[in-house]
Amino acid sequence: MTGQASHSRFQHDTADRDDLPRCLTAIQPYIPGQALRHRKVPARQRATPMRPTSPTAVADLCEQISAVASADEAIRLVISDVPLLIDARQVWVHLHASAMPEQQAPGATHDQPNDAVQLPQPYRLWLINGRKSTAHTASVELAIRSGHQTLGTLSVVPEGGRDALTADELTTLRLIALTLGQTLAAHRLREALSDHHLQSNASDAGNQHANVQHWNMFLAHVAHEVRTPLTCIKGHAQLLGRQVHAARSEKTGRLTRDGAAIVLDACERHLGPLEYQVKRIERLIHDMIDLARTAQGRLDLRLERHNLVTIVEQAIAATDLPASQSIMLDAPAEAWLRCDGARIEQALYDIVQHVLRVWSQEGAIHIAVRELTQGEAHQTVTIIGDEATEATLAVWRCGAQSYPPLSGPECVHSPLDLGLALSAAIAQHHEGQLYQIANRHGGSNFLFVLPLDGPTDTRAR
Amino acid sequence: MSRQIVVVDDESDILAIVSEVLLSDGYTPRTFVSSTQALTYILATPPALVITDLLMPILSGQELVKRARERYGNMLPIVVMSASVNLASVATLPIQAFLSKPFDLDEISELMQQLLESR
Repeated sequence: MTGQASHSRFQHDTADRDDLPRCLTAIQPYIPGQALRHRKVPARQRATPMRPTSPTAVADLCEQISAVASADEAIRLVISDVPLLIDARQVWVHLHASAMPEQQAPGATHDQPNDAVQLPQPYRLWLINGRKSTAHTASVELAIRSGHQTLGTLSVVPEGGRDALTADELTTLRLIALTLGQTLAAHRLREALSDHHLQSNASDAGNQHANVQHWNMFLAHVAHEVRTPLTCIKGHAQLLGRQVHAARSEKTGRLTRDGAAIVLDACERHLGPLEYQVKRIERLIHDMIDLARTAQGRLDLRLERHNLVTIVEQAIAATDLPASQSIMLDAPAEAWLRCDGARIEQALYDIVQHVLRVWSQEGAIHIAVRELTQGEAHQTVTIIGDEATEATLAVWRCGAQSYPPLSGPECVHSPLDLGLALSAAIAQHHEGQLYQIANRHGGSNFLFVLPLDGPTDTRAR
Repeated sequence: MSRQIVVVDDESDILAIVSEVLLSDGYTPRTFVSSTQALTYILATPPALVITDLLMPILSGQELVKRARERYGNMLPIVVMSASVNLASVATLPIQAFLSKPFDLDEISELMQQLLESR
């Protein structure tokens, strides 16, 4: 007989249980920790000689085994009583037709191979009880193990006092062992895939939870940003109302002699700030709408050649600087690039606003414009912060991979600040990036990087 | 009794609004855009009451409250105002009152009456 049974010989069509070996008495679940003991075969079963088993019956039998096999279960198959030799080291089943030694220690190996069946890795056949007592009750029990786990057992019980298998019985046992191992392998694979899916789902759930938390924090920040100008609008409106009320006569309801002057003074003091805060909320709402559009990929760009320095100057001019702060601009006369000028001004304005908001209340904000060539990429970099431009550039260029951009696939978490989130999205739509680098004062410098030639994937109107 | 009230907020417009309300109610507001400068002043010159924002750069409102409490204990009334929707951090602060932005100007007047005039 050949050493290996070909699995391709199996035809998995209709199972025919009448073809099962007569000596097969039971498929029993195994309780972990329970000692595997010799099971005496009822006398009536010994009289029937073993018949060859069809491949379908063997396959069906092994399917039944795999249905109940698990990491902690072992299946006892009582097939026939025949001594078997096992060499666990080489993962072979050695079917030996001679008598077994009287005593065998678990895991004992023998060096007398003849026909062998190789089980697929990582399964092994271990001889766990090779004791032969009498010609009628001797048995050999084998356990299929993976590592230290017993996955299945084969219990071979003597029938008719024989101490050797017929050729057909050898083939059957060999095929059973092979198919059992392959079926268990398939079962293990299914379990591994199931575990992988569970872990993947858990990881996805974890990521989803983190994303939901980040989104909630972003919404909280946006709500805070909107409420602040609302507070100013409400306050100025109520103060104006109080002044108008104070200017009226309680008796007549008309303006008093000084009422006109009071109302005029109140209007001058409050209407200007009111208009400023209304514009501020207007800008916030536009930013929110634009950010939603970028998330949907619907931010259209009007690409033209612009002088970036002019755009930077316009963004600075639109900024309402406190008296204690100033902006220092270090830029060449011209830095031409292809971009949507209005969007870039919007992005730069938002970055400057963020820096002014979170920065110390005194000192200068530095803005610099540089043209860079990195490899074949020609870029402009606008640096906004309060540190020396060249030092910031050097830190960024040396450790660029340490600073994930604030948008795009490499972004770890998009900014919570609405303006920064939109600026990062606008940069990304231009196939540029916005980077944030911590400085020595505990704040951040921002690098707004844009390609000179503009984005290649354009949605220009 | 001192009627000086320190108001701290990084939004100068809000400082102007609160200051005008306090002036019209007869108090003496002392406003600060910088929380660090405000803390220095508070530790040097004990006011009658402090009104402070929460989210401010460099020194947060929580930290300012903590440092003022370390110096004055519960003798100094402190009111926190904030536009934040997350109020979990406010619940544990040792303050007398909380103003949620945007607030009514009458709320400020009533709080000052409640915290100062009844003492």
